[in-house]
Amino acid sequence: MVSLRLSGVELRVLKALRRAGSEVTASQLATEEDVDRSALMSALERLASKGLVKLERVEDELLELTPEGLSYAERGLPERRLYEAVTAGPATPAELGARLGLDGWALSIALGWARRKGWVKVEGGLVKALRAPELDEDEAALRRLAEHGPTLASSLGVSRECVRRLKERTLISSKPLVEVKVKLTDKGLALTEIPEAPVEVGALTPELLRTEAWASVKFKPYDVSAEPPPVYPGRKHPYLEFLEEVRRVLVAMGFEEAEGPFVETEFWNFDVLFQAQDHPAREIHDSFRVKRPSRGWVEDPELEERVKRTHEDGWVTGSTGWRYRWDPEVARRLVLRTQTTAVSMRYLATHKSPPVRMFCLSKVFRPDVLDAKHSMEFMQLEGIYGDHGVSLRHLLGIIEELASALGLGEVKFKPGYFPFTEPSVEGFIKHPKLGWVEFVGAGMFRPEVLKPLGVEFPVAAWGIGIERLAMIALGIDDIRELHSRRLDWLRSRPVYLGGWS
Amino acid sequence: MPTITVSYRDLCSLVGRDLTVDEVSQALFLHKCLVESAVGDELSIEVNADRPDMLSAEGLARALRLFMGLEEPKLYEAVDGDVVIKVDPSVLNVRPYIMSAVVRGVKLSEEAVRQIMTLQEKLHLTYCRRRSKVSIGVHDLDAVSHKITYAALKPDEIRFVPLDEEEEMAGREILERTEKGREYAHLLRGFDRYPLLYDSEGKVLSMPPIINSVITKVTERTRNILLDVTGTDELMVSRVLNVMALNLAERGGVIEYVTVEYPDRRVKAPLLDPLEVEVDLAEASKLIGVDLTPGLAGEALKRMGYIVKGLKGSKLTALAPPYRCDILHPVDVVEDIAVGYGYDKLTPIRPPVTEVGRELGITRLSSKARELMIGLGYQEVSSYVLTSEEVLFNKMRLPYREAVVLENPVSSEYTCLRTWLTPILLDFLSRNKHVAYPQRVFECGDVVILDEEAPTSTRVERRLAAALCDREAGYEDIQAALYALLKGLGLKGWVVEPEEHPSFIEGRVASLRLRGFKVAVLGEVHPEVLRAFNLEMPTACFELNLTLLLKLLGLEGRWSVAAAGKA
Repeated sequence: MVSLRLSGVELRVLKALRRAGSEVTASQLATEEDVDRSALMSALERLASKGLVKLERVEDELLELTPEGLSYAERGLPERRLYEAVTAGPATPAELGARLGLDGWALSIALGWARRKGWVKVEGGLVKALRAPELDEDEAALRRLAEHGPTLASSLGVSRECVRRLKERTLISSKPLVEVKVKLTDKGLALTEIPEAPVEVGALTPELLRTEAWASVKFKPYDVSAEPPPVYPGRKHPYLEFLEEVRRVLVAMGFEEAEGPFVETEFWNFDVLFQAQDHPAREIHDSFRVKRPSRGWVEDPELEERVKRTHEDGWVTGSTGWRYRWDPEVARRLVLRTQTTAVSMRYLATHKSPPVRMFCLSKVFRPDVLDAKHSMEFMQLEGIYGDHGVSLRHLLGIIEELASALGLGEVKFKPGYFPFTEPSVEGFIKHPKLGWVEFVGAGMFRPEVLKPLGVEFPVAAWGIGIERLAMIALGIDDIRELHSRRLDWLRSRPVYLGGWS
Repeated sequence: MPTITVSYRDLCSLVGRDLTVDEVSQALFLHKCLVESAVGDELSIEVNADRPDMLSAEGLARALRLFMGLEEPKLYEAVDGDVVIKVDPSVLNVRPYIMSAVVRGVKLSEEAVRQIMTLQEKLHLTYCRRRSKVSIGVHDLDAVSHKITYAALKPDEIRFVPLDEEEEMAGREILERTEKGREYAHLLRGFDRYPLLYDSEGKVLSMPPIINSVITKVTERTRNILLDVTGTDELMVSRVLNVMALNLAERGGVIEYVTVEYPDRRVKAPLLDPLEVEVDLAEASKLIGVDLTPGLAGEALKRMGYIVKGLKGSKLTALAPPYRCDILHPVDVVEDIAVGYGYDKLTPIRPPVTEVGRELGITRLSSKARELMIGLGYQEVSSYVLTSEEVLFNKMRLPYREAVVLENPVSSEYTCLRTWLTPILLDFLSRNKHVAYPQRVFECGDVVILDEEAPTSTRVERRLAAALCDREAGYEDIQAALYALLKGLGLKGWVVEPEEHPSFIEGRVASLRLRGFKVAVLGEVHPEVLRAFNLEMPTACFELNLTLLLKLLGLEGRWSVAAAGKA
């Protein structure tokens, strides 16, 4: 077995040489095998270094018709036209010039060449025909060049004198070129004697491998640049993938995840948060009420009493309260959670020893009709940080850190208003295209919230409409796309790489 | 949050300074307001809900003057006047409180009239709770006599031409035929008498809380204004009157008292005494994170319109201006100190991370399960928790089962919370019939189950459901996926039993039990269900209860915070 590795081009060259049976030029090979000349030359060099071919460099030139040459190739050389004109009978040069439409100078050239080639003689002022070949060498050269285009002098099949002559007559132009003559060596010849055209197979099979028959078969070449069939890998949902990034950041910032019920009593959703029972947020335009089941209950009657008194007259919180009769039945009503702050409340009720760092990344519901900008359910990211000595500036620090960890960049703050925090703050991030975008509402929980829960340290709280952030980050402008029902869209989304889209 | 439109030139003239739009925006930004747009002379400004006094150009300008130090905080007073309102006992069980004030000698431009109307309208919508608690009437005082009666009359005894109307109407007609009447009629529902304000000559001023009479309409020519504020909460009535009167007086008027004579008492309004609040500066310093000296705190409070009355130890006594409606607790004054100090000067402090952060056990289990499903070639989808009974039950060939049902749904597609995920996946597939097959999808998400023992009468369960939809998709295919998932989670020893389930083909549906608990259902979807969802390919599904699995695996304990050594 020959232990030679040959590339596809090398193999083709060897086969072509064998078919030709004799010496060929690189130019011929390039034309016949339709290979790029530089690829061919490097293949030839490799074959030569393996001792399979012998290369001989010869200087040559590439010939091409000039416009004048081309016109003669079509109409015939002037001497040919002159000869033909006098075969009918002798004529004076003046008569010939008139007949052929040649002026004095052109006529003298035609007459000069016709005489030099021995086709005519001039006797007594008359031009007489002698004998001319049907096609002389010059004419043959012009015809070939007209038919084949630029051709190497060595392969034009005419004498050097002819080439020189035509160049002198400016009927052809030439460019010097180094041509390579290629010849199979004996070794190369031997190699090509391996039976031609082995069996072509489509696929490598375990049988071919086991029997080693793969070595004597030919694998059908593929169109390696053709489009492959589509593959649909299992993929994470792009929005959930974004939320995973968010979760990762919060865990890294030392926050512990918490969750609470979707169906919530108004007690935890509003009352504990010091939102009066006639607060507009509780109205049917702003909260989904639950018809079945319609009532829940409050787990801790003592907490309920403290909350009731805080609403009514401020209890011991130092507040005036909302000055109305608090109705326990309203607190028992069930709603779909409108804010994840309800989860913070439940968490604080059971985590009263500082420090407290909690986050909740979950759904809230509002009675909005689903369209490009509104949704009846969406995700909120809620976080609280409570400890002795926690201040508004710590809250700003956490928000700034969160924005930078999520790759959202610069942050600025504005005082804000939320019913359950004081002081309150709104955070804005600078989006490269949209400018300042509000992204977080935050504040220090009010004493009217913390005292009834029995929390004796300040608690900083923030909530982010993560849906809006996700839309900007994922480059989505319709909120419904976050829960897209289009399988092809889900299949085609690139993975989320962080930061803005 | 309410948004108001003001004239930039008018605002500057009220401030008394030529400010650039940027200067106005920046100062308002630090004062809880957001300039949303500035087009020509019009500024569109979002005002925070806790500052109803800033719902007009006059209030904004006053806040800016104080904030920029162009004006010192002051006490507000009124002078005596001759307007008297007599309250008839008939109105006490309809809309029991009224307060009133006169602002005399105002000079109104077209813009000023627009601002009064804006203030009135925005107050009605926000602080006044859509007029249910408080409503405001603004009148030309010179159109009526100064002896006024506030009484409740039978609807057919009421006759006057309402504002913006051309003919006289009776009480009930007003509720039915005028725009405001229809909008606010519900506030008078159930009453056989309607409140009415009329003068000694029988001229009607207004029918609170619905509409004014046309004769007291305020225009640019009006010089003396009478405000009537009625409601169900006297403190709120008083505050709203203060905001209206003090903002109006910013245009150069003098406030006059109006005497309200109740059957058993007499009230002289407006009540312009400031609210006295005591703030502990040590507490305030800790909460804001800035060391507040009395000087620093005093300066900040001045910028917010407070008069500093005294200091005892670390306790500072401040007088809040009478137009403020939002001070319930000293902490509200602490926020004003922070705003007066400047939020832009509060440098953030990043607290060091001292605790180990952690995801919930169910989040971790979900992540593991999701990764396994993705490895099995399933595309994850994410749907709404809200759905309809049609999808959950009817299309699934199920008799009606219990689900959380909304009282006020906003569309027929979303009327209840999902109790299982399989129908949600089929619904998803039904929208992708023309997308390349095989279609393998899964969702890991929450469902809500009714649970009488829970305080919210419900519980949330995390489920993972998968569906395979293809020319040939059968029980064995989905079973293989489920088994691979369970093995991947390190489970063994489950028992699979035939199940009766109308949503699946009989004999090709099973339940999967682990230690006696049913954790999953799997099967080939019934052709009638496929037809209901318009699906043209066989489909096989499973649904696994991850919440239950988490408990059975004891992972809750292994992954809990306590296990990580945290108290």
